[in-house]
Amino acid sequence: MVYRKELLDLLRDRRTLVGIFLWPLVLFPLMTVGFGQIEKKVAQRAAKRDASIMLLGAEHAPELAARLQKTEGLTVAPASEDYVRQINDKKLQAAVEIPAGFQDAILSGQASPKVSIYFYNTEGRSEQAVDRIEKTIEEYRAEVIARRLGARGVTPKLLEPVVAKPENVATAEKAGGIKLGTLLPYFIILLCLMSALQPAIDLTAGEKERGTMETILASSVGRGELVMGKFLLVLSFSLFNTMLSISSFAVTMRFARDYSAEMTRGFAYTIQPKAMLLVFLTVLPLAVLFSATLLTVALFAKSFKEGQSYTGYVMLAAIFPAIVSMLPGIELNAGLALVPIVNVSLIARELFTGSYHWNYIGLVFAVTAVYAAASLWLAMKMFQRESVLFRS
Amino acid sequence: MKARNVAIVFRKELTDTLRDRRTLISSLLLPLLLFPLLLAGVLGLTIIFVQRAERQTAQLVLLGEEHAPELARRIRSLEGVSVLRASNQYVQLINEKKLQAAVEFPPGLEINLRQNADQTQRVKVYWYEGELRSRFMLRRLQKVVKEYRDEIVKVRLAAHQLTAADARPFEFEQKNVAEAEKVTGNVLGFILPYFIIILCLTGAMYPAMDLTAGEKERGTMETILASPAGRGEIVLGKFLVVLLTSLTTTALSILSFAVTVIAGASALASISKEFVVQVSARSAATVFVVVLPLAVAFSAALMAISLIARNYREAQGYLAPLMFVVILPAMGSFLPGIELNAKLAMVPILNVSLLAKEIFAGQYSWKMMGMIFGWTCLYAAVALWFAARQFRREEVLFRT
Repeated sequence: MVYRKELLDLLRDRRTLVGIFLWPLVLFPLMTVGFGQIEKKVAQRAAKRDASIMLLGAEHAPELAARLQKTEGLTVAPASEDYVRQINDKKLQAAVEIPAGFQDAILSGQASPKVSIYFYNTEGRSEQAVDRIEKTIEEYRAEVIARRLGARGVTPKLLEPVVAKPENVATAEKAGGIKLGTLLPYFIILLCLMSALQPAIDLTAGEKERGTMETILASSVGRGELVMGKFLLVLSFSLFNTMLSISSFAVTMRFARDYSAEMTRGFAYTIQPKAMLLVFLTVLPLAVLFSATLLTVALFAKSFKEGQSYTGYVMLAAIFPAIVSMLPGIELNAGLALVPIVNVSLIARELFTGSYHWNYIGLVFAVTAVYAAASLWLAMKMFQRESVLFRS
Repeated sequence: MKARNVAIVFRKELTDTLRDRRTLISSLLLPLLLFPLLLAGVLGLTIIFVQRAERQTAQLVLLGEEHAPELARRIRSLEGVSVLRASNQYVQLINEKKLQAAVEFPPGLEINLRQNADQTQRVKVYWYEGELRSRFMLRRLQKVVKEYRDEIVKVRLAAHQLTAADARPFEFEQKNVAEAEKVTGNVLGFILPYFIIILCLTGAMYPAMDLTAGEKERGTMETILASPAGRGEIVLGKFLVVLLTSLTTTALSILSFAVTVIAGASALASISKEFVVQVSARSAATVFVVVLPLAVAFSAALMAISLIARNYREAQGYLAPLMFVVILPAMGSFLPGIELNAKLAMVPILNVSLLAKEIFAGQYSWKMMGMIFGWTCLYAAVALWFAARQFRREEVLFRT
């Protein structure tokens, strides 16, 4: 009954509804798709644009200069002294300096001259120009080597006796999952928390502010029932919202194929229903923990505004451990499995990459459930205390 | 309008805002501490864990070891690598992270190396792409194979009376000629404009709500309106407080960010020596000037909107969507390759974002700067005029 009453209250609030539906369902996909599209278009345009380069001392290496001039995507500008200035001003993307006597050295095979490529480090177009220049130079070098060795009757194959060829054996699901697996746990945990925030404040501090706390306390339902009703509502909001966001994310990824392919670097990526289900299961006690904690904390506040700043600290405290899934090299162990939030973040990452360590899953679930029970007990306890309920 | 009255309103509101402990914490302490903590924490932990992963002993299996005794010997002598007994289940073991890599030697590898010089032998390294420890193992294996290869090539060339120089007719190298300031600015220019714009907005949000909707909620709006100060003076006084808070928050955050970056630069320097952090005071000052009218526009717009709300909570509901409207154009600085032009210079927020990016990268196109400054001032004036008008309308002021 309490649950139904509170649900009705919240749903009547237009802003809550907008927050629940508009945010995850419309804006998130719009932003990812829109941003991905724009980025792709801009990148394509940049790739199509010719880079302007300068050849310094082209006369020392007519062969190489001719090749660079023919290279696609490069436009050779007349040489000038102020190339450094021009590169700094982004008017020129790169300059190639060929030392005097280059051609002679190559023909005689006596010395090994050095070609310098001047560029603007970290500037996208400049780095792209360097890539193109290097490719042409390397082709030219391979040809010179082949010519030289050919003159002695030796094949250039001689120079490549053995190579190490890396071969990825991780299943596509794992390789793709490792990318998403670092991000997704963080988002899921934060979403869980954020969606519980608004109703938790509204049902406690908000109630105090509106002055209806006394009314509801005077009703025939007991304190425990009241807390349970409020708590269940917060919990269902949190879970519902998180699920909506995740499914909207999944749908977005499906529609924006090119974008998702880019994100997972070409790996076919599917979230296994089994992994999804297990993640949901481990997140469940965490959502209970969050909902109960937020309810307790917000109960201390006298007004909605105060409630917001109190829960803001909870939020901060939760962000740090949730970030763990994004750190490379950290692995779940028995010690970490005891740390709240961190353990869920790490186990979710493992699940998304398709490793199912059953003993850890069980341990994390049990540990989180214990924390959840403790926080729920605390919430109950606080609702019994008049000094907290009528704090002023 | 009297400057004295404006100053009185300004002082009163400022004292009010400063007395609120929560405002101080959220606008001063949080940005000052959060940035460095978050950055240092994430960076520090990453370095610790990566180093630990590097030190951990890697498990490896060698398949077809009998085909390449010499190469296998070299791999076995690597430090921190333990070679397990060959097993066919290496793919599964790698997937379970029990094994970091498996090396497969083709049949007759070393015999072929001696006899067939025109054939390239392929050593396969099975690994787990994206897994950190597996990647470290792969890199070390590749290095071993390369060293082995170089030795063979040397022997082969000598057999044909050739030297190593014959196989390297010339070298080439990359040389960065951009100034350190520009390189730093180019990297920072991606994120910093976005943060500055968002901070400007969020910094103004709290006081803007408090001084309008909050005042209504506390029931003190009528009192202040009944004071001898005129409407225009009240608006201006309030507005200046909002602007000041916004600018202070932004400046402090950027400052703490800069300190973190410079402190972290020493940590970064160990990773890449080329990366020299250098932010010029000139570009920072220029960005500040460009952002100023934007902060004015934000402050005024936020006040005008939250004045419509009846209470604090409602104001929050109105301002949240506005946040979104700002975030999208502010993200302009993230996009690579977008260049400013006369049309883009007219788009509010996006223009400042792109301009700030250019300034950080050390590009000062005075014409663009003037244009964008002018446009932003125009938008700011409109927002301010709108806010002043809102304060004159009784149905907005006393909405129920």
